[in-house]
Amino acid sequence: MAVRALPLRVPFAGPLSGGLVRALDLPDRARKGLPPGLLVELSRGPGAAATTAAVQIVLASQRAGDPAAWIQPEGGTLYPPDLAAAGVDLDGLIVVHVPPRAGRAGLPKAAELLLRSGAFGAIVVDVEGQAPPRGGAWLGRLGSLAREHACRCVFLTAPSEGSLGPLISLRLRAARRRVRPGRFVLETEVLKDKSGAHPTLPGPALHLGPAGLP
Amino acid sequence: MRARVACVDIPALPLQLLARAHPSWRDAPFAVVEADEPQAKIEWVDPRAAALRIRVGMRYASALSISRDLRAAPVSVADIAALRAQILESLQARTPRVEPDAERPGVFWLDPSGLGPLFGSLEKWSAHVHGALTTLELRGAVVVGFARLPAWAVARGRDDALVLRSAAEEAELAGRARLVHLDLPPELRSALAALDVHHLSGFLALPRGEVGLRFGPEASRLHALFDDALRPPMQPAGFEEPIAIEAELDPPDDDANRLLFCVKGALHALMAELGARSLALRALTLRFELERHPDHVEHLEPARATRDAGSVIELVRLRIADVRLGARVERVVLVAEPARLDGRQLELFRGRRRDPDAAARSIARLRAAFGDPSVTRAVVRDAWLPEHRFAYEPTTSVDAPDPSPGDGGALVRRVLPRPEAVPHGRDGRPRTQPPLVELTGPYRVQGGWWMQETLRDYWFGERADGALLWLYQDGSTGGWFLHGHVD
Repeated sequence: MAVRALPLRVPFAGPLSGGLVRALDLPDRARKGLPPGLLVELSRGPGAAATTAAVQIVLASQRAGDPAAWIQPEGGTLYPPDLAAAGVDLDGLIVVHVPPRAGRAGLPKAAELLLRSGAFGAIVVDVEGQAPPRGGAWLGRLGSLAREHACRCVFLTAPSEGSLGPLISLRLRAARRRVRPGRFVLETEVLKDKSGAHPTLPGPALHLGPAGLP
Repeated sequence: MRARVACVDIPALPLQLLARAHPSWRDAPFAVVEADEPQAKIEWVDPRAAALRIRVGMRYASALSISRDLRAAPVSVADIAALRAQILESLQARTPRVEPDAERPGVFWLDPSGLGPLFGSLEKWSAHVHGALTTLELRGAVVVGFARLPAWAVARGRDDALVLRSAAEEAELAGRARLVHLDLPPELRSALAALDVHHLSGFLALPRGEVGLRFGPEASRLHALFDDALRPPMQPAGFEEPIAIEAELDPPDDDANRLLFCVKGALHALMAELGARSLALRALTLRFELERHPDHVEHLEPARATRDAGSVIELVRLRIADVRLGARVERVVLVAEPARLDGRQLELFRGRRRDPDAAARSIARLRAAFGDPSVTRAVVRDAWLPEHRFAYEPTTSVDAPDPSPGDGGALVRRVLPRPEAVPHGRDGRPRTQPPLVELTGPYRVQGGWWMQETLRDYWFGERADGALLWLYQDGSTGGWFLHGHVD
């Protein structure tokens, strides 16, 4: 297995490299997950499984003993029963609903307040449909706080919105592929990798669909 | 002369709370249920419902089949706590020493020492206390006796005020009390019934040593309490009067930074006052009195009771940063809700890598910035309709996580807060853009049959671009709706 692991990690190698890796093909040892201290951007879209990937990051954080947070605009579309079905402990996850009056700085402000505490292992910010603040200073602050407190800060964005900025360490697109009825794998496309750590998404190789999904 | 003690007994507090909240139910049988669901268990029944043979422990749907007139609703622990606080406040106006019973939610112990001469007699004072219950629309008894549980035994089944003349009279009246009215543990009550012991006098006639040996230490403790052999000292609840400080602004001002400095000065004075009373700040209410406008009020709660002005001023800064005041501020009033200082031992070796107190502080900051309901934890509920399967509850802390150990993954859905209508073609199938290439289902979901029946057929639809939609067809209208998608 160790012999196969090296060539399979090649598509991740090097910063700013793109490539497609099938999670199913990765041996367990290669699926190390994301190192802490990164700003990660997961692009959503048709055929994508960005939320599933983000949930796996939350789950990995919880399995390491660290609580997690999910930040979304008020009236967001998170569906907690599926998080519970995936194994997430909902008591160890706070969900922040940012009201519209907070404006475009609301989501980053919530993330910054949580990151500054150093009490969370993963923070997911669902920015889809919300215009981020102008400039990159807010990303710089979040990046340094994430590094200082060893926290994974994950942004869920829509593909039409483009990247949030150059300070994003890792930009991924996770897509689902049906391998047999009711069973799916996540295929991860690395759009940008400035970390040099060859990170991979944590989580199992196979994912079950919701009840009723063939 | 032996000291007196007064017992205030408010029977079936959750039922009385429900009756207060629903005045129209007073003439109908009603019950307290554990949740607002048809299969929820009944926890309390009023005499009308009991006469219809509706029993505690029965499912609401079963009870409804006995009587369609039955009314029921859940009563939360928070509601009961709020009512107890209200009763305590009312009783503290009649005597400074009031102790809420730790085990019985409807029982309060009062110290009537010195109040007889003040009111003319203990009878007048007890009638005054009983009047306080009537004012609160509650039914109960006030018994001034000599020992706690014997006085309570006398109060059970009464709804008036009574002053007992002697300890012997108290013992005689208490001895007549039926055991079914004394909230004994069910096992003990059953065991005593098997021994043909139905009244307190029979229970007290048993040797205490034998009671402890046969029925356990709890039974022995109750025996000693009812026999006046154990006299726990009165532990009155403390007064927690709000402390207020105000600051005049001359000339009136509406600049957020200057207002913050004004609040800061007042807050230090407030903290000094709290420190002098050995108290801490549990919550802070800020009232901005505006020029020719109604007052603007903000309420803040730190992560835990504190005397650290710096952390509180940060919460104030976060809160007033986005506040738009309609006019200039003439006066700022700070009202502190005090609490006892939560002195905790420092932990040298923590079990968790992450500091839970730091998490609580960050949550307090978020609540200050975005409002108290903005920080929540998700709760999954047992329901059929997807939108009823979860709820968000405001939280002030986050627990150490305990995720499931399984190594299987699951795809996650996104659910729209309001389903969107989807047009359908002549074939009855939904039409989307890009078009659907596969439609799988249906999976029927039915709910709310006891109120307003909902019938939906759920389908998974795969679009040509790979998107997996979660759709449903409404059973009553036949219309298609997009409820979410797999992501």
